[in-house]
Amino acid sequence: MRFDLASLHGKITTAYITLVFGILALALIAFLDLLFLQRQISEGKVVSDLQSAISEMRMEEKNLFLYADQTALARADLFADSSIDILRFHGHTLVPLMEASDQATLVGRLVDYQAKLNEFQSATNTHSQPIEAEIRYIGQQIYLAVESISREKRSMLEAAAKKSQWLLLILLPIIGLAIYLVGRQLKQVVLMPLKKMELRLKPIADGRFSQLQPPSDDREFITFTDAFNRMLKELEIRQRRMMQSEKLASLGILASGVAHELNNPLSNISTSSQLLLEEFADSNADPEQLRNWLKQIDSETERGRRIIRTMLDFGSQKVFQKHPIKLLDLVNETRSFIGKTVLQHGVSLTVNIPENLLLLADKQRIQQMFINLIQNAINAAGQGAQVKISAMQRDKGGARLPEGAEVAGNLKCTTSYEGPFIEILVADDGPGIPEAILGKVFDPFFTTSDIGKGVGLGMFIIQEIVREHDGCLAIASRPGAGTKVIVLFPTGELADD
Amino acid sequence: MIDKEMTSARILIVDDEVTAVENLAHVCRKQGYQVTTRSSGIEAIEVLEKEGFDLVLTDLQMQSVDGMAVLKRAKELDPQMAVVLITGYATVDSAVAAMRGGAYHYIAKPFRWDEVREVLH
Repeated sequence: MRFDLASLHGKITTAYITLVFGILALALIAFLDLLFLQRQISEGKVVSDLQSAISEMRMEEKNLFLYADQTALARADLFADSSIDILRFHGHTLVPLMEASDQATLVGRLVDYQAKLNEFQSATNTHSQPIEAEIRYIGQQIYLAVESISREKRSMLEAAAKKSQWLLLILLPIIGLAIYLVGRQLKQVVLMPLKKMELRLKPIADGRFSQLQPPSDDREFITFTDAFNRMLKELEIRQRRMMQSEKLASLGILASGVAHELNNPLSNISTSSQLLLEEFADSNADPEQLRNWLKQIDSETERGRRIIRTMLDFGSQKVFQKHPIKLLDLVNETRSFIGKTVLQHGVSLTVNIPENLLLLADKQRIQQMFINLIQNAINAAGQGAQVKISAMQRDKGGARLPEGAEVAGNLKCTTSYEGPFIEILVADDGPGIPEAILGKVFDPFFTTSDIGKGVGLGMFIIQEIVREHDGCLAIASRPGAGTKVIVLFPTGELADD
Repeated sequence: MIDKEMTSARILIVDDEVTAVENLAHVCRKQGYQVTTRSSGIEAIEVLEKEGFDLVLTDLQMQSVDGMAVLKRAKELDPQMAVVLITGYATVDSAVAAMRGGAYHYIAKPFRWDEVREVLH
């Protein structure tokens, strides 16, 4: 097995294996302790067997001397025998308590004891006195020796039991601690980065394209963020492409508007030229009138040039650049260009913007915004609708809304936008937007139009343009009572000029 | 001269393009018409309600009150009044709508003066 600590998988596996081995080691310790205790107990059994055999032996010895019970002598001899047997067969278990040499001495004493018992049996009464004393002495020695190992054994057993208790008391917290540490490690390695990633994903979920930073150096996270960032970049490119194509669609509308708009100066140039040609030959012609037509031709040619330049400007890709623009002129120009669309839908478009209202903005983008806003209004309100565009300079507060309207977008726009600002309202008297889909109108590719009519980027592009100008965008609607788009642009910089 | 003008037909020219109005007025005067000019549909309807005209030459596309509205009002006031619509954006639909509305003629911009003079005769 390979412990690859640069990956989540490796870290989790390592932590898990460490935990398993740790617990196994601790279990082994507990098992060894149990074996040790078991051996102590079997040693204790041998000691207690030996002690009881010796005790019986001495009891019979007492019976022999006290009651001159000759059968007791045989029994004492028998117990001495069994004591010797115990020492002979189980002596090795007693080694920790009694050296093998001491055991041999003890066996020697028992053999001695038996010999004295035999001597006592065959001796006469007169000679038996000193032998009896000797037997008592040897018996006492044997008893004391066994008694001492028994005592020692007891204290050893007690110590072993106590040790086991302590071991258990120590092992349990160690296992707990190990589990806790591994859990904490997993939290640090897995949960914390996940949490961090969740936080970092939030702005992306809100639609702001920013690169996702890996929350830790683990390979899995790096692979994930790499893939994610690649996808984001791809998405951004595609979105830019979609926005470009949406702009081209607006350009198409503009182009037909421009063609229509060009017709007026062309017609004027044509009629003036025709009149000029007719009257030029007439010697009675008024030179002032002739000059007037020439002037007209000149100024109408200039007008045509301006119209064409507007379209070229709109079509070209330009860097974002703010200039003071006369809002009324811009809206009127836009209106004349998309007049054909307005006309086709029989929509009445009224504009109410103060003559001198200046907006510091990128002309091309604001024009695109108005084209999209007007188109949205026309699409939403349908045949014969009334669309009103108004703008004014305001100092504070939010845009006034129709009563009971639902609002989507930046709610600050309608409540507490910091002034001074220019408020632009585009209102239609169409069927309004149902509450259920009002929140979705800012989503890219959201559209209620039929397939082929639009890709649903109009509102999204408006939002982008407003954001570029640090403005504020909201849409208020009440089913049956039309829709109002509110755009606020800060005028701080302009006010300073 | 003055007498002729007094007895000549009265014409109302409506267009929001100053140059177009000026040139149309020039040609109409040359044709001997008594010319009144207005630069919006609203003004045109106002003057139509006060004065009578033999012929109305109006642009079709104008802001708020357009040529169709002028045509409609003119026909309401005097069904005999001849109304000629001039349009910068000629479509079959707008032509049909104009003729259905009772327009006498329909001229597409840019036009030759001969087309206008033909109508004026």
